[in-house]
Amino acid sequence: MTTATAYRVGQRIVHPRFGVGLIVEVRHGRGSDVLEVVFGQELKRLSARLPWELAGEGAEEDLAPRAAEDTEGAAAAEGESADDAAESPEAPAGEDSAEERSLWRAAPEGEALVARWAGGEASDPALFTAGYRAERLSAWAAADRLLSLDSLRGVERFPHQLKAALAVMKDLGGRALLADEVGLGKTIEAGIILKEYLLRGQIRTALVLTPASLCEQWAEELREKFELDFVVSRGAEGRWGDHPLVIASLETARHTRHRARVRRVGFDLVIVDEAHRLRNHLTLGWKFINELGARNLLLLTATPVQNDLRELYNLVTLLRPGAVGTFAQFRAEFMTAGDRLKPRNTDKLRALLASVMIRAQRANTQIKFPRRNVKTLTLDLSPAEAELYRDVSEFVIRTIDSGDEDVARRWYFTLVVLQKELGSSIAAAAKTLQHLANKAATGLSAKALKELASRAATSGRSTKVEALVKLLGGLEDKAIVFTQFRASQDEIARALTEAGIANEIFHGEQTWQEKEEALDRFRGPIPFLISTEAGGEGRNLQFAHIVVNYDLPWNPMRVEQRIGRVHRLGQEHDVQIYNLVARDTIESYVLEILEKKIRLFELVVGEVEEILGHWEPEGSFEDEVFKIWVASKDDETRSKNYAEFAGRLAAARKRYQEEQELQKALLPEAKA
Amino acid sequence: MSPKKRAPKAMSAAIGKSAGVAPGPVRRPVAAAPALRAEDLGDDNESRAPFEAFAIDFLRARGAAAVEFAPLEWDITLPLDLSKRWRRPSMRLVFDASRSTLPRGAAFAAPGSQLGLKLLSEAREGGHVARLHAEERAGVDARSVAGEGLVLHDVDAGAPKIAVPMHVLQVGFHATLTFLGGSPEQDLRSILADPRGPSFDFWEPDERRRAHLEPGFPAGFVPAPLDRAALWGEARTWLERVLEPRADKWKRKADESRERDLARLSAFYQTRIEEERDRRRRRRSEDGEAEEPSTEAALKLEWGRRTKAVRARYEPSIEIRLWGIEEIARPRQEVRYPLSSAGKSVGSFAVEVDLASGALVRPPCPECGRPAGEFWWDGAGLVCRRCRARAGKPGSRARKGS
Repeated sequence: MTTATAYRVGQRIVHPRFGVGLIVEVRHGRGSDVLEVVFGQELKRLSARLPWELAGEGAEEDLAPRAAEDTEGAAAAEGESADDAAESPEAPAGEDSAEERSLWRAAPEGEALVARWAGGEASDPALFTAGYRAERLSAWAAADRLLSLDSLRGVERFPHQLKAALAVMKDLGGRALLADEVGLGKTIEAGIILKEYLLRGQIRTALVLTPASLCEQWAEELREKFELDFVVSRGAEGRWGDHPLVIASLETARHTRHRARVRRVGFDLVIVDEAHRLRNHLTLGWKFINELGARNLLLLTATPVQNDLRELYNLVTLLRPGAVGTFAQFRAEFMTAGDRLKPRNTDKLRALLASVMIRAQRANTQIKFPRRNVKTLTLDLSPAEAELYRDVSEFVIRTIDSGDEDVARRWYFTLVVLQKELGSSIAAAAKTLQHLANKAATGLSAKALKELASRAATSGRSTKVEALVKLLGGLEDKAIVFTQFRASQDEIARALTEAGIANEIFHGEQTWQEKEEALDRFRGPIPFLISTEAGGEGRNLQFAHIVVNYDLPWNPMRVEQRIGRVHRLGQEHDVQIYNLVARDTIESYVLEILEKKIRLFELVVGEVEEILGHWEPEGSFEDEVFKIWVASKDDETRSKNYAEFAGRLAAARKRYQEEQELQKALLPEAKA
Repeated sequence: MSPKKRAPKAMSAAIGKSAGVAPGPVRRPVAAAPALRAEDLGDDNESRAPFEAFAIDFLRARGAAAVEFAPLEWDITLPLDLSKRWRRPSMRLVFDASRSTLPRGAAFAAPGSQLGLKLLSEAREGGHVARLHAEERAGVDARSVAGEGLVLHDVDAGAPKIAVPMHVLQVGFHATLTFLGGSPEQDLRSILADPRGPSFDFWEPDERRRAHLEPGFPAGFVPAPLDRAALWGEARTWLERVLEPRADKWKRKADESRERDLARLSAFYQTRIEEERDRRRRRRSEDGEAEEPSTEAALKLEWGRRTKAVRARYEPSIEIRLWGIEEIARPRQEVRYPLSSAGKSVGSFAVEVDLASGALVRPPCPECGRPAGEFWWDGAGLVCRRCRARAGKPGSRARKGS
């Protein structure tokens, strides 16, 4: 320890009562020389005329008494918590400086082992061998070894992800913006870092903050791919402090009811998914993360900048305050007056951003993203099928639009499903019609239902099925046929079998054993798999590269998920997509929007989600599609309404593309 | 130099004091030990992936029954204690990381999977002590090994006396060093100690593998009493001394990183505080152009908090965790050369030949204690090249027959 009376900002002093504090101000005024010193959560004023002890390196920060954890509760206002300058120093609390303290320390378990050895203990040599191997397998030794990789199951890993994980841990000190382009696996990168830190014992607690709708998905993915058991914190109580690994929505965590408790846990690592929600420094979310004080912080977003370069500044400042200066400095050096999106000194900016950001671009990852080739088979339904489609649709619209709100509300979802079934197959709709007719459902016309059910039951061979049989008969490679409904699946399987085409079915009601066997046969000699969406989730079906959409979900994400079963990183062939759609059905409108406006079939994994994120509807895409269908009085209005809807989505896609161009121009690229 | 001129001098420091060794004829080891070969002692079984080999061997060593169900899949019946602890009598282990789904009741076994961590932790728990021995290799001629391996200058060596073979005790310490402060690093270090000096050297995994160690001590071999805690203490001191440059470098790196981060924070917050004062002076409104408006005190507290976090992050330390100790009995034979200079007897020099490896054990320099294979007579005793140079007599390259 040394003492001094000439102090400077940034030095640390040891106070007998408050412990070690940081000098943040030295004021020399008339008659009083004052130091302002931060001790823990408190700002104190001390006399600068007194010879306070200066703390050496490594002096224990914990000498500072624990103040209130909640800074909002602590007196943050200037002067409010400041002590009088007349504080006099007392004898210092005894502590060693780094020079005096040894750098080396022995782990207690080693000393216990020596004691056992001294007592004559010896192990079974086979157990010694196991222990020896276990130690070598557990050690991460070289900093470049990622232990976590061995434990990822069913996860494709790519060099850019591993480089990113290593760079975050080695070079960026665990605080980084992961800004890879969409579809390059930011979540996997974050998962690897998280798991690696846990395995290395560098963190014990972690908090993942996601949009509320993604909490369960994150929990599932971390469990499935990384074997990490996270709990989702919901409700008034929350799960703060009772479990080391927690997922919550940002809104929940920053809520006044929770935020002090979240801060008290002191999570070692915080991951914020969809971190573009933190681009605005005036939001509660930004402030919450800024005050959280997590040792390690990962922000995940493909678009750190949208409308203003300041957004980028805000994200960087959360991670490393000062990395790009204060905002005034940033604005003066890197922003163009009058254009908030036009950067200056881009090279320097990129160099500074590289200290806090990892961004891989598809073009530089050397990963071959397979192309998507799409072919739509637009079919004309038989007159009987077309008439039935029209009549059932009219029944649905009439019921919802009947003016009887009770009936409309009660049957709304059933009727939505009926309309979707009808788009898939008459066989699928027949079941629901029969069910409703049998129940003599309240408020519905039993007579009409019975008539429709009877026609559906006797409708004969489906045009779509025949087209499918013909299509599959001409394919030379394996294909997965997706349908939403079990009844359609059965009809397809039956028709294929009758035509002598071998096939397997795969759906969520099968046992694990049945599913495995079906997949094994599909991997083997069977060329076609008829699958529902529920059955295919999480399965690696990359050995096939043809997807047939027998019917079309109204939700683009579901379409994307189907394609994603085979169109993933690592797929070696171009992916061929066939869409079967009947003319003048809802699905034909949906397909036109997906194909022509969003251009879904040209995108890569994850982009649809981003585009939909730029479209701000009142309800979901699916709701919008159905609402327009019901609300349009005739085909002309319907076409016009769908065209207007499509226009909004096309604009969303354009905005998305413009943003991508901006990121490309502005952000540093990860080295290949 | 002919073998005749290679001659030893009595070595009181290292070899001569063989207090810890029970000299006597070499005894054959007990044959009852399980069929544990060198490759079992920490090396990967080549027919299986390292983790699979570890898991199956460990479970078997703990008394479990393991049957290979399919490649990379094993059915395990756990012993009573493990089945109680893990709350299941049996399980299927799947080692195939490419499988996206697992059979019901199966567990994925890899170094970072839940079950993998359980296995590793179970195997590591508390560390282990082993007793091993090295088998004598047939046909090792200690006289010729010593004659070939040792080079002496400026002194005449007479006909050596060959002692009876004996076993000596060596101790292997296995430790993990974790360098903390900034981005941590780890080193796995093994030290081979000869308690008779004591002397220490690093023990590389390859050397260990080549040592062909067998389980158990040879029958009748009882090591001399040994202050084990003191030996570990000395080994640790030696390790810290040898790794001092590395430790200094580590500390410097942590210090530099810390200072860099502190300087950045300091510049940022000082500027922010100035900007805040300026804003207040000008009574500027809190518009979107301004930094997030804060009070000076709030900025100062935030600065203090972040400074503390940076200091904690870069606090350098090196943790030594000892997790394995091996006591090894090695067959040795002493070869003692009478020495003479200018026709006068000047004592003797003893070296040891390791009968397991068939190599000369490089004797420690009587002056500095470092192992060496070449010595010079300096008029009073034998010294190594380094001690000779230090005394101002640069060691010339040894010439055969000088």
